[in-house]
Amino acid sequence: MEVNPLSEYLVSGVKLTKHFESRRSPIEFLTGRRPPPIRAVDGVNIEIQRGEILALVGESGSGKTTLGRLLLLLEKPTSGEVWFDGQRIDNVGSRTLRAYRRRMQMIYQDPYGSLNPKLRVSEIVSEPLRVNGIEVKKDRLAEYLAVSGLRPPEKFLDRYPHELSGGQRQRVAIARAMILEPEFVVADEPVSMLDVSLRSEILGVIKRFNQMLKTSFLLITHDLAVAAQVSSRIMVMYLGRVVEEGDTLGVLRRPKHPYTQTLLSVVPRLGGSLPKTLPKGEIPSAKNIPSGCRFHTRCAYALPVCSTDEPELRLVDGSHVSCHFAEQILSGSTKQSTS
Amino acid sequence: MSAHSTLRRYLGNRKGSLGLAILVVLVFMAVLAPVISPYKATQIDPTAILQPPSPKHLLGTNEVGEDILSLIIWGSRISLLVGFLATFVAVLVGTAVGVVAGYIGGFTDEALMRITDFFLVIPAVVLAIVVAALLGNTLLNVILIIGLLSWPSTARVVRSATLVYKQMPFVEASKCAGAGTAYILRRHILPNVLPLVYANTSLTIANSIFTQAALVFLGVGDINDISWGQILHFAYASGAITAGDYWYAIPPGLMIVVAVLGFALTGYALDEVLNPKLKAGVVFESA
Repeated sequence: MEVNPLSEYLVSGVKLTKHFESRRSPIEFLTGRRPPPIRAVDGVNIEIQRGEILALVGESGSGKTTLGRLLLLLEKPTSGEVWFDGQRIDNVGSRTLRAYRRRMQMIYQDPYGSLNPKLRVSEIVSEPLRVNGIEVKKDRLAEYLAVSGLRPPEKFLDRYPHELSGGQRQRVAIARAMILEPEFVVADEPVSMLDVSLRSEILGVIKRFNQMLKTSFLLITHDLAVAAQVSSRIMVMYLGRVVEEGDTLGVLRRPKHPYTQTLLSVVPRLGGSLPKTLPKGEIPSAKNIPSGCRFHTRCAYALPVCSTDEPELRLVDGSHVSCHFAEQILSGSTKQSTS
Repeated sequence: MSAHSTLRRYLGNRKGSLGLAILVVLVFMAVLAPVISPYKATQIDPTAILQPPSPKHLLGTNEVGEDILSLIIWGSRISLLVGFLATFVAVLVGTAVGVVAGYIGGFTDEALMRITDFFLVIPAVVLAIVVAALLGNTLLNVILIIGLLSWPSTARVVRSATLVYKQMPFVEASKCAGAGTAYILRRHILPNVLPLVYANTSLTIANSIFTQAALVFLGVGDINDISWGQILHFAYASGAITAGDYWYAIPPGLMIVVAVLGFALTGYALDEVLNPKLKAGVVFESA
């Protein structure tokens, strides 16, 4: 196992890539050709500091969920490295990996599928303790349920998931993920299936555990408003690549990448009018990624160079941005094309 | 869903109540055979040979002077025994094969499913006759043969349900927590898959009873064990059927039909009550 004791990051991914093989069509089968792979994540570098909440933002199909699963090694990377607490873990055996599993957990989007309908809340939340041979104390279960917002916790211990609301289920799922006091948690769209009125509260629960246990979170979301509420840093993904990364305030106040700008412009506001800079069309297929800048097919500022040269991530005004014209767009000296 | 409300919904199902009523009668018949049968099963009345129904012998007598009603009542024991035990074997094998194939997947899945296909397409009765000839014509062998021929349908049902549940987030969450394969199968897959098996079980029992009767009729199995199939066998062998001695052949035939019907109705009703979502094509609850 490679060791890097100097790493200041808890989790990092180096040039992480995940390609999924797609199914061959009959013609491809006969001609022996392989279909192009689906490039879900394409050479992403990501670092998560101890105790921070990093929001990973992007449309569906941007590869954000796959990146989260790669960091937990729930998917095997096609290439690249995953480091955890100064040790490389993507190339270790399954037994070593199992020892790391309990230090990193996942919270799922769907609070209906993430709880076994045949088990009681107490059994669900205590399962991580039992499989790791840790004594189950009722006080501990109650404490984690209470921090998750299920009060009084005793009332919920004997219930089955179908007796709970969506929000209550998500609280149970969070309590289960946190009871091992993990150092790193990937929360994959934890509030997107909940009523808007509940979202702040559930995000508050995540924030509470972040402060109580110093757990690092990777908060995957398509909603910048969710990212704004609890994250300290935002990373924006588009078609398997990072297009912008920086402090939450910096990204939200002065978005540099045109994609980030469009994402911000579509966040609904009270009394606001409909956004003017809607992205054109839908996100292209990860099977057939545009040349040059991946966003140029939908970008309002695109120039010929954008379809030939792929921009590198570079530091612009405190954020990392991959756009040829980030400075000009920021200073407003580039006109939007009116096509 | 509590056990209480499940029971109530089951009894509210017309098919289910009728099926259950038949099963209760059959089980009482088998258990209380010594009490309710008018004669001992093998008691011979040399003065009454092949007699039609009379007050003395309600369903008449056979060619050696045994009381048909008593034979029917005693015969229910073997029929039910074979039905239950063969199904037990089938469910055990089928569930194990289905869960392992579905959960592990890959080559294991392919191999197990090809074996399942083999047992599905093979003509059961022919194989049973061959195996019985090789292993010996005993009741235990017949039970094992029927059991080993009946597991493929259970395996298929269990495998497809396992495929659904294995990709549920709660299974992955369990893996994340550090759970091993055996734990996940026992704790997460089986409890969700078993309700599908229960309904299937009842149908397998019906099938086993029928197969056993058919095999004994053909002379496979211990011909000295009194069962409905055996009564039919002797009715045929003695020429009673050709002679038109209806009281000899119809009652055992009718009992087989009623028993199969009872278990089949129970199975369908269980399916409706335990797996209501199957109708809509949804396997797990979503609300």
